[in-house]
Amino acid sequence: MQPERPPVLQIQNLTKHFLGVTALQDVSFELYEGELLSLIGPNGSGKTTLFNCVTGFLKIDGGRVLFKGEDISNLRPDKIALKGIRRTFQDVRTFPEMTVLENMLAAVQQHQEENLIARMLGTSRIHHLEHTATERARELLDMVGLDNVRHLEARHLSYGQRKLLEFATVLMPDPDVIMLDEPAAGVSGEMVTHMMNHILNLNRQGKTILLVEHNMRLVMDISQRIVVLDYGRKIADGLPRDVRMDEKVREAYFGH
Amino acid sequence: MKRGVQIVLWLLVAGFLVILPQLATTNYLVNVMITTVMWIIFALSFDLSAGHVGAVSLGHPVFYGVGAYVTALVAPSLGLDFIGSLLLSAFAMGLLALVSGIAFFRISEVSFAIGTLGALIIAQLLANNAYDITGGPMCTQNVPRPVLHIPGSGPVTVVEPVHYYYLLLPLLGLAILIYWRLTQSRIGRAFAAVRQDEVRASAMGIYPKRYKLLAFIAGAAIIGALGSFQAQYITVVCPSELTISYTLNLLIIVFVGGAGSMRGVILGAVLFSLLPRLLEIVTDVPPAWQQLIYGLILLIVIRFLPEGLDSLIERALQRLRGTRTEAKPDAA
Ligand SMILES: Nc1ncnc2c1ncn2[C@@H]1O[C@H](COP(=O)(O)OP(=O)(O)OP(=O)(O)O)[C@@H](O)[C@H]1O
Ligand SMILES: [Mg+2]
Repeated sequence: MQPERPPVLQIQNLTKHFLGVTALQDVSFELYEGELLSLIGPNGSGKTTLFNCVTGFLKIDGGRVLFKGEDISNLRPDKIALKGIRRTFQDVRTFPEMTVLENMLAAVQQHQEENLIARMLGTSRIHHLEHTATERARELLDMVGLDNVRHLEARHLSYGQRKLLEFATVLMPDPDVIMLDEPAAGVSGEMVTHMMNHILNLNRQGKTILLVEHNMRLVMDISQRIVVLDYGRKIADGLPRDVRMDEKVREAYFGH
Repeated sequence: MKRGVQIVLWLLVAGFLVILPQLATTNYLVNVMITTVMWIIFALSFDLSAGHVGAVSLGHPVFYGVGAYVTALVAPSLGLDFIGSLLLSAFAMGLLALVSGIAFFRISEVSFAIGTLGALIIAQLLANNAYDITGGPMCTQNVPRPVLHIPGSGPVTVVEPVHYYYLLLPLLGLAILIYWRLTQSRIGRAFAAVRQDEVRASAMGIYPKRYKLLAFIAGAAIIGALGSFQAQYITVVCPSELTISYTLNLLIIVFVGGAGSMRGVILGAVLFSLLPRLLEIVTDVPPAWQQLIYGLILLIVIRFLPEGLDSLIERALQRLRGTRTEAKPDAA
């Protein structure tokens, strides 16, 4: 599709079964560098399952996942995260008893220092890293409008604020691929626009994003490409305007 | 708290602990002090896993009892002195925690608690029945006492409780230091992440098992050393060192005091050790009733103060500082 840009993520013949349910069947597509690709599909079509397979939270039954050409199928989630793929969860997840700022810092601590002893002693290098991380965290929090509540424990945040916090934490390590599972679901109308604008801005800054959403209208304007799942199968893959007109997609969504 | 204030406070506490035995008029009182310090160490080592990574090891006393047996059965034949024995037991229990942890952390949190409890029961059965090795219910007798080499005079065997107390204090210091550095550093943040949401922690590149093992091993090594101390103090190691009632005591201390808080755990251990002694002075409470009272206290505190007594202190301190006004969450 965009031959001049290398694929960052290659999903090849991905298959996943749950006790008789086929959640994913032979799904293949590629995510190119700098692309904003939306993965859409009706409820239960396998979008979250695909996220879980790519990020190591579910074992893959068939096919494989390549990241920058390297096979990462069935690696541990923490290893995949450290390679540069960060994701959010559909059922928003934050560390409830940590402050907003601590939530942000927890997202990068493995990146910064692998050495347990140095971390235990709190060497000056560690203090320096912590300082830079705090600065970055505050910039990002400022961007999503949470800097003024940075000392509040995450459990005191509203649902929408927690979605924004989770969004901001995946940006902390400046990952190569950002995977967002329905970042705007369950938040109020104004916040939806807000969130979509953040995502669009990120992509304009060159970030590679895989966005899951089941509301087709929401992603039409901002996506460069759309992949559609239905009952675990890929039924369409292309430009937003082509996907919208696609017979199979219309049938999956509207039943005609 | 300001760093300077903190250091002064710690120095005062240390000074107090050093002077304390000079105020004790009887060996009985010194023994109470030793027991109190031992419960503090026991509880801190337990809380590393239970309070910080959320892995409640009901079998924690295994590392204490087996640590004591290692010192009683192995250390003398290696010709190890007091410190050598402590290190041997600490190392052996750290290793045991590593091996058993790899197996136990594969299973869910509930089965982890039950599984470790099973290990404790089996350990006690073995200790009771392996007469040839442990002496069974007759215990392993005549564990050598510590021998100090004081320049100028010959070797001195430690017998007096007050001298044992001074041998124990550095172990308390070390336990506090390890606990503090593990939980207050960036490692502590990873601990908290693993406890609060393992899935999210993994998604951030934190490997939960690594941190669970770290807390488990550190706790086991500390308590292994304490078991070694106990063996050299009482000079007898019995299967009763592997009793399940230690587990009950640990649960009471940690959850009444405040799991995951050093201040809370220490407070819990001090109250637990001293209250019964005070009760003894006032009335005659039979030991069987004591257990019942403990159980009731645990239930009441968990019901009305789920975060333990420490949450009361925390609230009081905040009021003293003049409640810092936090920004209210914006309506989203
Ligand atoms: N852990 C699981 N065990 C069993 N079945 C599962 C599991 N996770 C998902 N499924 C099933 O797999 C199918 C795909 O589910 P998935 O959550 O991936 O859909 P989705 O596209 O994310 O839906 P939604 O838009 O509602 O989030 C569904 O039939 C679902 O019931
Ligand atoms: Mg989903």
